[in-house]
Amino acid sequence: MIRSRPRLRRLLPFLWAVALLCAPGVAYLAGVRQEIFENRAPDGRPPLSLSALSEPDTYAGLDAFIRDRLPFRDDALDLRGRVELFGFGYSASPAVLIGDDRWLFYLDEARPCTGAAPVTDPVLAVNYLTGAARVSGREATFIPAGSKARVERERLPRDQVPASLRCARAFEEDFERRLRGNPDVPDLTARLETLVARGVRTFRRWDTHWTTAGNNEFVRAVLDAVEPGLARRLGVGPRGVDRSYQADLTTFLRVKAIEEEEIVAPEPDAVGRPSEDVLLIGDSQMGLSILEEQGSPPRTVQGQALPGAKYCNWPQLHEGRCDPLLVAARKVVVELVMRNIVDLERGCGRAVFAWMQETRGREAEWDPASTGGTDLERDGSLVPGEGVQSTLRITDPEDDPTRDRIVLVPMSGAPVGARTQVAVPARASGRPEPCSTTDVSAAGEAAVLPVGRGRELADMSFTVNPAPGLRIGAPQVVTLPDAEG
Amino acid sequence: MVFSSPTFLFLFLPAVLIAVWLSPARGRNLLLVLASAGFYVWGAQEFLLVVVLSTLADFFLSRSIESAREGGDDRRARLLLIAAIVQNLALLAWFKYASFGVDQLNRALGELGIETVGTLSIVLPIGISFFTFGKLSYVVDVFRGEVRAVRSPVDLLLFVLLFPQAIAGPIVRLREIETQLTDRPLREDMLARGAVRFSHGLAKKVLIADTIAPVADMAFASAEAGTLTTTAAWIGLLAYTMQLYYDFSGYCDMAIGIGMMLGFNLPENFDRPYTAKSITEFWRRWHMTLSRWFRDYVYIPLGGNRGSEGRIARNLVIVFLLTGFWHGAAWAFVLWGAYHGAWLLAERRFGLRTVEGDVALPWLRQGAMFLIVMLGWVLFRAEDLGLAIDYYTVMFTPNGLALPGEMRALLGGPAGPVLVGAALVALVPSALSGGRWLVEAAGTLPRLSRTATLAAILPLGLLWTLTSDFSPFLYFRF
Repeated sequence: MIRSRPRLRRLLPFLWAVALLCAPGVAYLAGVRQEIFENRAPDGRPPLSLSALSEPDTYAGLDAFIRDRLPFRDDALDLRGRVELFGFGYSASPAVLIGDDRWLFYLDEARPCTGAAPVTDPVLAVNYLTGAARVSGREATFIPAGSKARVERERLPRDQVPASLRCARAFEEDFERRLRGNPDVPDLTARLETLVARGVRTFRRWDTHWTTAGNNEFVRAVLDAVEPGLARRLGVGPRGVDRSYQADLTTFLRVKAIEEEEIVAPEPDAVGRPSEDVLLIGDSQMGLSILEEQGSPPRTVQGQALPGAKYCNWPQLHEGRCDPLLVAARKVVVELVMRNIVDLERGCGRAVFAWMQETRGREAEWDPASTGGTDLERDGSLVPGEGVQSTLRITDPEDDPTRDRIVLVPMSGAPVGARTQVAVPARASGRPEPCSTTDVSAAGEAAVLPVGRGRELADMSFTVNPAPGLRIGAPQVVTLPDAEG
Repeated sequence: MVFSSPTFLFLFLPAVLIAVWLSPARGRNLLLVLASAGFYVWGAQEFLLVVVLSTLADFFLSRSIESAREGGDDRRARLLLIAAIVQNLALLAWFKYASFGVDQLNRALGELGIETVGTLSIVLPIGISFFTFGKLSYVVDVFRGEVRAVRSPVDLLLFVLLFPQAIAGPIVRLREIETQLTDRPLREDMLARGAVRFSHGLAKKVLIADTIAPVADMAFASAEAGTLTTTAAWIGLLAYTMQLYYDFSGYCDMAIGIGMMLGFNLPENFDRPYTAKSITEFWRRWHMTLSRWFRDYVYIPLGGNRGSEGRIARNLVIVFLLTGFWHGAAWAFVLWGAYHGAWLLAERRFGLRTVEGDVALPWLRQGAMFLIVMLGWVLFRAEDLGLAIDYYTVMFTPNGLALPGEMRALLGGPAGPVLVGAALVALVPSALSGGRWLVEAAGTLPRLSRTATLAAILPLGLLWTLTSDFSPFLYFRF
């Protein structure tokens, strides 16, 4: 015993090292499991056949498989992230900017100025969308949600705001300023900025989403868009019950951080508006505020305030999975964050197309001089030669170039599934019109071709690459209600 | 497998250590050969077979060389030696230099307007330069009678494949571990010292080298993109200078530490090289096993310091061109070797070959040495001559003092203070550095310091390895 003490002491460094090296394996055997920090499924084990063992990928796969199962990796990531963020004020992610007092900002908000600027004008897109909704007997409300870097700009680092972020802020301000006259676009950002001016935080410090105060404004804006005064009638407001959120921006920096905010909901006993005819389209804030269960007993704002309302997210809209809901809805409320504004041209065409199919416009005619020798039928339709690209112009004596219009071009006759491509010339500025139909299956659908104010219909050509057997109906022109202020 | 990967640290290493301690002494070599083969397969797959076959060829050739020498048949011994050298160098030439050779041939044919001969695409097996030099030293030493030919193929395979040193050095010669191959008690003091040394190496790699690496990466990426500024170029080069040292010496510390825990005393490879006061001294402190190898197997056989100044200069130039070429099949490496060779010649010419002892203006001499070495690393890192020229151009034609925002942000994080601290530690004279004292000194204070350091650094280093995906050591590619 006397001799073993010094021996143990001599061996202590070695035993310590071995204990640490064995710790994750032993912990795993004892049932300890890690969370995958990156919010993904753990990598699976690669196949271990004889031929696979001669492939470098097999060993890289085994490394990844082991890495994802060793306990403590998530704790290690968290520790390192905390050292970097709180010790050095350093952002390990190019997507996250650290502001004053360790406020975090998401640089994806600079997207319009970092090579992903929208090809078409998003203001025009909103105008076409709200106009198309109105002429098709619907109401569509767009709620631009000001970016954190704009609303909480006092928290940005004073001398190191990237030029791209300043540029994006200008883009966003211009977008909202130009839409200020559109009655279907409530100015939520102004309400948020008013709160900030009073010293109220509207965004969470480490997250891209709102605090209780910001959330309250958003929920009220959504409900009032469905039915004016609905939020007040339901007594929407903070309910005095906290809800925990895992902060999303710290996750980029490998830090697990929890923020707590009060839930925002109607009065517990309030009875909502039956909303079978309502479609909500949104991003993550809509998800957090309206769709996720909260409180006790758990329930959603959607379920209580808008029972029966449907929901689509933006990817669903882009992929066409939302089309039947777009057709069925009479009231549509859309959350617009920066990335949605940039991507608006993708979803816009689907929504305008869906809404305009059941709409008829003023009859116009194809200019015979433009039909390239194709004979016009008595009803004004024409059958282009198979595989022959047609460039057509419209004659419309009642055309009002001071208003936004949508030209509908009914198409029929082609086999189901055959695609006809349609194109409208770009504006003189070089930006094409948003929300245009690019191709139709020609199974009785109409191509929808918006034409913005300031453009003469007679001066424009529509290019059609027809499917076999296509019959192009006479064009119809729908003049949209005045929207832009 | 790399030393800083979770697979190695948390599965392979503890499993091997425990298996070795639990196994009877006579089975340890076979166990270690199998473990080393597994380690090597992880990074080089079927190339293991080539290494094994080549080692077995060395085994039989070395036995034959020894028999021929002992039988007095020097001519046969010499022929067998040539065969052994050729089979080793042929592997190196094929895997490492054939593509480069074909590229150069094609370039020459293109210049002459002759049809080119196509290209070769050969995967470079990791560590080939290291174990080829180890194997070459073995057959030459047997020929010279400096070591006995190894009696067991398992022992020779262990000498070549021993996983701590097989793929990134230090370059071990048989004479340095000859007795340990057959008699290797696991002593308590070596186990403890090995653990400390291993921890230091891990910390050097993951806490220092990997932390400052993004600064160097950013600078060289900016040079490629044409956006490098003068200040960023100098800071980036300082970062690379430190990254290379801490990365490679960290690897060697880990190798030596693991070796100790397995009962081996592997040779030292670094001795605070940036404290040298001449290029000559630098090469006695940097990658010491490679310098010694070239000294013993190239420089001295060529005549070494004997003969005229011209002959000595020729020998030095050959050695340093080969040193450059050993590091990589690219003209930039050859030029880097020539650059160091030229400075060595200049030091000989002007009597500045200070190696040890008091010298006038030591700080100035050290500063000059450091600057020369640092500038050389541009060639080493760029690999491409065009990029190196661009980098030098920015360094020496000032285009503004302001640092780009991205590099400012990077230096504002851990990379900045770590870089400053790393540079200070690497540059202070040995007497003021605590590293060696911490590892080797006896007494209560050093032991307490060792324990405290180990207690803090090892967990941090291990945790950091869990946070970074694959981060290979720089010297793996050589």
